[in-house]
Amino acid sequence: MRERLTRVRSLVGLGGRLVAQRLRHTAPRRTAVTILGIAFAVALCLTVSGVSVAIADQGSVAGSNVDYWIVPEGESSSTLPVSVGGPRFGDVHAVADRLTSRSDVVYASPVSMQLLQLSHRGTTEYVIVAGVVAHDGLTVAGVNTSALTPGDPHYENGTYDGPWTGEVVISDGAGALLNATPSDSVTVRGQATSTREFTVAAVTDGGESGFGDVPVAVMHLSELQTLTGATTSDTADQILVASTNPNIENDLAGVYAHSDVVTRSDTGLTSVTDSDLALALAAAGFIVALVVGVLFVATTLGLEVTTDRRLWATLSAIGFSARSRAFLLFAQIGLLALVGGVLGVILGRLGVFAANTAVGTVFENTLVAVYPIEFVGLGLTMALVVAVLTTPYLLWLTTRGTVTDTLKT
Amino acid sequence: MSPPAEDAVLSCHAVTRTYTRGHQRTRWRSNGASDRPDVTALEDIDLTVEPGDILGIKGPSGSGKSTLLHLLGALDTPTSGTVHITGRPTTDLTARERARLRLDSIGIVFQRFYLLSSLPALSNVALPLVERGVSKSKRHDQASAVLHRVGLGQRQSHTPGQLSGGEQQRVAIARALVTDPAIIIADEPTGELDTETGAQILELFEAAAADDTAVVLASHDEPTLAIADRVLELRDGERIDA
Repeated sequence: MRERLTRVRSLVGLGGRLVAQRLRHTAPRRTAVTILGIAFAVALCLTVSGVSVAIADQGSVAGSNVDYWIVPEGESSSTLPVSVGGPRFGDVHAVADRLTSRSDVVYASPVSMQLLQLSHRGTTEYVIVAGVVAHDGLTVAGVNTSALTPGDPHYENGTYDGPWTGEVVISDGAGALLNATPSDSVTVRGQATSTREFTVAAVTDGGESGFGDVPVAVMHLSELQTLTGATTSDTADQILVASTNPNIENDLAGVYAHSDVVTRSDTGLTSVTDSDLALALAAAGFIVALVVGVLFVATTLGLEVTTDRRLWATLSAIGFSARSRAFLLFAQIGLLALVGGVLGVILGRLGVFAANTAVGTVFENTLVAVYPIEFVGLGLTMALVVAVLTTPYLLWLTTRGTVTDTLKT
Repeated sequence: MSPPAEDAVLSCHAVTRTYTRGHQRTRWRSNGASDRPDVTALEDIDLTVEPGDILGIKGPSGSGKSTLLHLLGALDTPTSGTVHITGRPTTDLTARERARLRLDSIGIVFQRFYLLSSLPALSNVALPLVERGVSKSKRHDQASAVLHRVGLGQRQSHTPGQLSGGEQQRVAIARALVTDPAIIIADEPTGELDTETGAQILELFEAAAADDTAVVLASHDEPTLAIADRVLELRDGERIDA
């Protein structure tokens, strides 16, 4: 066992020296191309994955304190922000009250999303406006609602005669666009009524939930419904539920016919699977990057291995087993992949930055790609996969021709 | 299969090696038959080598010298007949077992040295010990001792490119000796060297033989063969010295 470990360590060291020699003297350009090929493949994969994660993540209107949300059937979480005009739930205040009365529900809030015009001191911008039943700790579209008066006072048991708070919390993206600060008055142009004045209760960081710097404003649901003429059926797009019961999902699924329940575990990186587009993008990126990487490494290292056939024959002649030679080859490919992988992780970060910068020049305050820390592991794993997939072909190249023939020429 | 002679480290009995020409092409033919005849590189060879023997093999190009050396070095197996190395029949061994046999019992020296250009002399000599799983410090101690034996104690850190042809061949011999093999197989070991350097190299083989290592060397060169206890002569794959 100890002998084997020493051999493995020595073979890795020998592989490192051979790679270094190749990089410095015998084939610096070809070796550099191999490393850059892997780096390019990894960077491509990470950039495309960054875009797909951003697409999937944009649907997470809830903050991390929300465990479930009930959405109309067929609506994936990624389509929620753009679901205006799609199927909506009715009698949402009553449903939310009923859910909140359960002992295992911390709170439940309907959420309605609308794209409305907000004006402040001569500046008018379209902003995504979310209507909620405010609750301490509830965060919607990255905006914390704690600054709003708790509940939904204007609703008043469905009469819409309760006190009009006129409060709105805006994201820092919206604040920057409108140049608005807390206590400022902003004008909201509704679809059903004329304009109404609202007071900015707070400006909060809107970076959560993938909305990034997208301008978002949150107000009480009944006030938004009044502005948009949705009071008749008391409608909203979805219902967020914070619960202490991990088995409540089935109960929530029965609240509305033709609804789906999305859990918190479906958000973040794993929510990529909720979006066909995001999944397709990620899969395409991964496959293309893998093919590019494998072809690069197979071509460039294939030439190296062919050039080095006397080395492999010599090692065989002096008693290196096929297994040791294979390990030595894999050590070399693995080292190149590691260097390429690290470089690819850096290039991928730059790729995401470049994508956001390029899109940002056309659409202000828009993030099209993200780069979570998990991408470092993904990039290195990708490089390792390239190395593993390339090794059998390169091994086959080392066994072409017999030792005796090779050492005769 | 006849058993090897009791004291022999190396023995061949009725060894024949044939090669099928055009095999790669004919493999794709439906009947698998070749339209060209097989080539017999060696035919019906018998020999025995005991510890400390120096066996010379001579013959013109194409006579089968290299083929015989490859069989004696467990790099190849005979088409028929048997080769025993340290008592083990090579035809019964797997490729992995033959690699292990080469590592443990055989040191091979090539005409063109075949050193790893990126490694200094010390690491080149220590290579077989890597496969044996010897620790780095022990590897270096053993390799250094052998390099001193071949007169390169001061050149251990030099890479092959910084060494003369004679020095490179000394490194190759040191690599062959470092595992303390029972047999050294050398193919034209002085072929690329001048007379004086060649003579120095031959002294190393004589010294190895004096330590009971069997040496088999193939050469065109008469002065090289002069150190041999016996010379086996081949022509067209057949032994003609008997």
